[in-house]
Amino acid sequence: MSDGTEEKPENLIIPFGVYSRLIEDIKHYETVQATYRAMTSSLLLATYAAIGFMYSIKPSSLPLNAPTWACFIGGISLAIIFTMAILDLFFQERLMIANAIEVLKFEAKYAWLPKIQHRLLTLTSHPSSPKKKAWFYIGCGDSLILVIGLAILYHNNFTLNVLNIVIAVCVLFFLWLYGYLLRRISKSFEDLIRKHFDFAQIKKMKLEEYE
Amino acid sequence: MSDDNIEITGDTDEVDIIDYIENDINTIAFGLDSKMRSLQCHYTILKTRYKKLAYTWLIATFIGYSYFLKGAEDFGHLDHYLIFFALSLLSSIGLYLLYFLDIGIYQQMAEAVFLEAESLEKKFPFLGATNKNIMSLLVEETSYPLVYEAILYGGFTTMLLVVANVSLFFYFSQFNVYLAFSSLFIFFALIILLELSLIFGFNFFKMSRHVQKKFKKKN
Repeated sequence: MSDGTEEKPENLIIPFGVYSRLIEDIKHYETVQATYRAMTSSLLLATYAAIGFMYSIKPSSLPLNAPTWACFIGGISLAIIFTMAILDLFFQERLMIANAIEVLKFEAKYAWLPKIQHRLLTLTSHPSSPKKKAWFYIGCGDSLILVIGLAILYHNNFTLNVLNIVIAVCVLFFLWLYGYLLRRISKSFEDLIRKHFDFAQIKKMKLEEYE
Repeated sequence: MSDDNIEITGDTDEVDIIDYIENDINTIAFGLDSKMRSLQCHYTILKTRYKKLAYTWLIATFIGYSYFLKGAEDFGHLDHYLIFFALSLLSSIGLYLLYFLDIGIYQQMAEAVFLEAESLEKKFPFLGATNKNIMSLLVEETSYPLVYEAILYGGFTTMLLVVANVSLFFYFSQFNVYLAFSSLFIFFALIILLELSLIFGFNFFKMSRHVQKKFKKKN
């Protein structure tokens, strides 16, 4: 330092601190998302139990028949699952990705940081992609639509008539529509970060380049 | 430690000792290693949460079986075998969705962290070699270690689907024996295919395969 020309060492503490905070935020949002999914799974289980319970009660003790109850309970549950999906895949996911974008920038800027997000982006489909996570909610919703459809068809004794064919077509349409809506709402990880981060180079990289 | 490193909070006797981080790559590496470990723990906890939920599904299914077998309730015109079939099938779908979250999403996230932690250990040997040891203990001594992660779900769903298969067989046997046997064999083949795909992954183990490849290349 005697001649005053010696370069100051790179400040590692501030990037490390910010990186740590970003990681903690990602962990937080992932925990919240996992809670939403656990709630959805429990709801699905409870809905099956409730529908089963409706079928086990004597028909005379109910104001409506069991298939109507199955549609009613299943419909409410479906609406809640859809809401949970929007909360998870649209709202919480964007909060999480806002941090992931910054992590990506930090990983690109500072060579000494671990390249977790870069490594995940080199996979064909980012494991944390909302489009991929949407399959969980699609599975939950579609299984409920299927149960409702089967309940109605069973009530009609599965006879081959116009009404049942229309019902079966409607069920297939709703199965497709539910999946389509959720896939439409949830974008891929790459789509969401495109505006903020140039990942074209990262996608070209092979995992071996990090070895 | 100098007195500057001690911060007295409030008017109590409580004393917080603050470890100052130095602007030195080794200290930062230590911090990063701690962060990697906390991330690994985080993903393990999330994965465990889904496994706990899978147990809940299984227990609920058993309760459903016992409730039904007790015969306390009248299920009207619904065939008993059909109820068993529906119960088992729907439960296995629920378990499969949990498998998708656990193995399909969080396993890969955990492995990405694991690989980075292992690279960090290689760069800074003073951090120890826990991840390297994990690799040698799990990857070297087992041909395909992550099968053990999937086998839990595989076992659960196999059991439920076998119950579904047998129920369907008895249901169809009331009408036609040939139909019953053909459904038994077709459904059984489907179960085998599904379980194999569950255990060996629908491209979910891409990262796992990479871990294995990397380790074998090194040796």
